[in-house]
Amino acid sequence: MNGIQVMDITRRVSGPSQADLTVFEHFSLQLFPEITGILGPNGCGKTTLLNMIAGITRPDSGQIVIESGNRNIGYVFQDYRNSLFPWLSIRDNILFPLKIQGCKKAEELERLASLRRITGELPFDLDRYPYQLSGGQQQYVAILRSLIADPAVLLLDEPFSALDYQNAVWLKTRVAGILNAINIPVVLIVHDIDHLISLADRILVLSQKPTHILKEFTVKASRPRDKMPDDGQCQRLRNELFQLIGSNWYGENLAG
Amino acid sequence: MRKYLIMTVASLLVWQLIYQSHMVNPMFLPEPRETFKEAVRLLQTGTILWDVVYSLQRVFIGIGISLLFGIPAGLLLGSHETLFSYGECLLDFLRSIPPIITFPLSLLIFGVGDGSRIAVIVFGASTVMMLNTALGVRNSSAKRVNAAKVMGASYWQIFWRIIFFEAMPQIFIGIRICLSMGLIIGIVTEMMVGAPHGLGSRAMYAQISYNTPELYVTILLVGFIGFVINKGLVSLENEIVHWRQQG
Repeated sequence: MNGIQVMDITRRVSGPSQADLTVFEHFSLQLFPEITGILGPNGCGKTTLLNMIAGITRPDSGQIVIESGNRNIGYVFQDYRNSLFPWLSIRDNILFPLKIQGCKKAEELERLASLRRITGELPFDLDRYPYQLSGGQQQYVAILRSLIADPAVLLLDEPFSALDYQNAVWLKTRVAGILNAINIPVVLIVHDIDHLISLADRILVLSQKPTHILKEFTVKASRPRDKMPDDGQCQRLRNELFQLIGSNWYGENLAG
Repeated sequence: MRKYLIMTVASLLVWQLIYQSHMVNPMFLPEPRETFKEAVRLLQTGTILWDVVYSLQRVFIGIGISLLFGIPAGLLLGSHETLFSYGECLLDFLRSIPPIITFPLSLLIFGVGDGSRIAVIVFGASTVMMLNTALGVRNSSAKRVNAAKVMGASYWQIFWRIIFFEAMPQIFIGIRICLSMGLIIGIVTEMMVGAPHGLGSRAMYAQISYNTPELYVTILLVGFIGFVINKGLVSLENEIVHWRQQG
């Protein structure tokens, strides 16, 4: 099984009054080769969880095990402007993970070609620079870069939230196509419930700190889903999510 | 280009009008035509060009040493928190000292030759270079560094492939400040003592001999050189640090 096991982790951070805040306490989670959407209130530690999976930060206790031998991790940050390398062309940005691994030119070209088999024709010139592309295209480049090294897991931290509506819709369509073509654990954090339902296979709703999983939902509608499926089941799921969020995060009923 | 031409013509017209109005003693403000004739004479004899070469040679050697020393030291300083916290106060103190005041000390140590002038340029420019480079390193995007870490980049890969490039816009700002500063220090030290050649000493000789057209030619030439260097660097910067003006 090529999954990820988050086992009994505890993570504390310094709070505003210098007192330690417990973000996670004995938190466990299993990630399978599917798209796991995470919905949580602000500050509940969603990004911290991704950072721990990526190895940027460490849990105070507990461990995270990537079951496949592959140690490559694809991580797409919310802020694409500050995560792409503006001095490199789009091509060199995408190939950057391979370059630092010392891959040969032929292998780089082969990986790029196999990536293109997943994505289809890229809608921009690879010799341009990130700042010459739209926000959606830049985030798309960040996603392609995260996939080029054949990662064991793909972490998407609010990939649409820094984009305007038009760019977000464009990117979501592209992401849906990519996620449909890969078979690795994908963790997707988004705030938009409709985006989550249309992309995820499983939705985890997190609580306020110390964070635990309030409820887990499975999206049964068939894929690819390039928009929220227009059936009663998804509408029920949507209402259920709003109800759960409203009662647990805000103490009121948000379902329309 | 057009606006430069218009401003040059306008400035010359104002100069000519002031001269013709006799508001200023012609001893202090010669006629533009007379100054132009003097410029042609100086260029034809070639002596002023040699002064340009001597002055620029000192400036470029001084700045070259400052860059060779200041950039690596700034990279080191910027990438170590503790080192920076100690080094910053020392650098802040050193750059508060007007470099020109160290010239007498430099004369004692290096004598009246070019060495003393170059040493003052190095003192003034290297502190600026170090501080700008260190600030460039410290302003690196943590997101980019984290992105590279997740991709498995080593410390040195992050340093040379990310942090160095992140620091480049600030390094260029440092180079521009250093060149302006180097030109000022170079010219001023030439005016002070023991420089047989250079634009600073030419200005002093012109003043002593009351040759104000030559003095004006020298002043305008120094301004022109500074302007060209700055514009050249801005063009180079736009070429190399092309991402600086990203939207």
